Amino acid sequence: MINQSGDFGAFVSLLKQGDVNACNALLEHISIIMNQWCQKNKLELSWTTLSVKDESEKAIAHWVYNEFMATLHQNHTACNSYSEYKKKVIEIAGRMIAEGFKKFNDLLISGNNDAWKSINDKLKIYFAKWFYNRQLYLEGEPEDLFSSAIAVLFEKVSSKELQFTDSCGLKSYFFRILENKAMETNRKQAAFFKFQNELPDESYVSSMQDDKDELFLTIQNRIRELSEIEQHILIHYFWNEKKLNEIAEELRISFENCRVIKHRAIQKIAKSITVR
Amino acid sequence: MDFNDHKLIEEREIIEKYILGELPPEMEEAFEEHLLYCKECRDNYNNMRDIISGAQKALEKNVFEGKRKAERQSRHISINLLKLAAGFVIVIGLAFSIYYMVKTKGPEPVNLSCADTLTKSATSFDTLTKNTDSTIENKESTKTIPAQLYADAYKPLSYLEGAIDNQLRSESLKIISPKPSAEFHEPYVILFDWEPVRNESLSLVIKDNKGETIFESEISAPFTYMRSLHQGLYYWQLNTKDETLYAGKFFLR
Repeated sequence: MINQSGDFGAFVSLLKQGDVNACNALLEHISIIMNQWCQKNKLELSWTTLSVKDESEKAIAHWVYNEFMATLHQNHTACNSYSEYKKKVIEIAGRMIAEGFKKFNDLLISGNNDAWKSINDKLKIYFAKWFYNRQLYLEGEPEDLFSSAIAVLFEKVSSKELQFTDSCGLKSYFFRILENKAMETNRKQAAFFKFQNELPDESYVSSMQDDKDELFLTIQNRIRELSEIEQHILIHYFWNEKKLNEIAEELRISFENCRVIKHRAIQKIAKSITVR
Repeated sequence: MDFNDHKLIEEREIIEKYILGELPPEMEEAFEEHLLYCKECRDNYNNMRDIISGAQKALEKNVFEGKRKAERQSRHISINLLKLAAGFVIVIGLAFSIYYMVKTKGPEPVNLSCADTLTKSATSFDTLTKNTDSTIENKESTKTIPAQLYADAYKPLSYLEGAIDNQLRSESLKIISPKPSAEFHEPYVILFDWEPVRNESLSLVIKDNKGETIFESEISAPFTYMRSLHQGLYYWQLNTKDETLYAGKFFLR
């Protein structure tokens, strides 16, 4: 039985005894540590070749788990404290992610469809954020700018003109292309194009069935059902990375009020996920 | 802080702050360790991460959809304005015809009969309505052009379809990629690969569904093709100097 008060030594003992709950907890925890570490270092867990598409994260977590357990069984003094454990996990994961990205980069060079789809899907999210933050006015669709930048990236990568050592480098380069493309076409930075502060309509959301991601659809539908003010707060807090006090000021409500609204909105969404 | 008090964790939004990297370093480390021992917090962490990712994904679609929606709205407004203008022209035309009719009934002797006048004014009215109608028609037709073009882009071209059906000497090559009638989605990355690898290089020809050659070059397998192409149906062939070894097609969606 895992002691919730936090005795790391006791937890390690459970691991060595092969306690199933402890082993599962370790695997889940490794995944959390990796995610947080990648987020801080702007690395993409999904851009590795361990497993195609969205399974990369799980695959790396399993790999790190296996190597960590092997170390634990071989060397009894390998992990005496939580910080030592974390250091070890990051060391293994870092190595794994770097190796995985190297192979992923080779796939990109060879024009692998899945690898490029993964690049496309991820960069589109970052692009949307970049686009919105610059309040760009474009003659054509935002997709045109995005596609042309992806095409340049493809040319550079497939011709081996550029080699990236990590996903952070690739992302930085992509944004340099975007900036150049935006300037090239003399697209003015202006507050002309206003972001539609509303969520996609029903038909558009249903067309996302292609994503085969029911969870995201549930969340998106749930967000759409929220009140306008709740949507506004979530959009700016989670996506536009605004501070809660800034949002409160914008909406002319108190900070505490804003915090409560956000909290309730999250609870509503969380409830729909757990009910599922 | 006692992380065993889950109510407190919820109230202070610890999980959310942890994900967003907003906890002070010491508290972050302590909470992270707590996650190792606490299944409930790990589950809440995963839920919160899903919510954040879901919100981000929804908003990404929103940026792309937002502009289209705005354009749709402005197009809708301009069509309504056009209809309003057409209506205005019709009313003016009618008023003018009535005025003309009344005026021709005045004290001055009129050479034209009343029926003639009516026919004349009716003719001018017809012309006016016709003009306004055709303006609307033109606008409507420009509106339908993209859909028509879209359909056209997927229309099969019979002689190239025939080339596929004949299969020619395809048995001498095993095409690995693209698969017959493969569909590609953006970004269009098309891998051409076959077996066995031949000593001679083959010529790859890609044609659109109008039969126009959009790419022709000597290549060897595997070859990756990526250019900014429009959506539609495309035909491809692998040729030696003397003959076509394989003919196939693919769709860009």
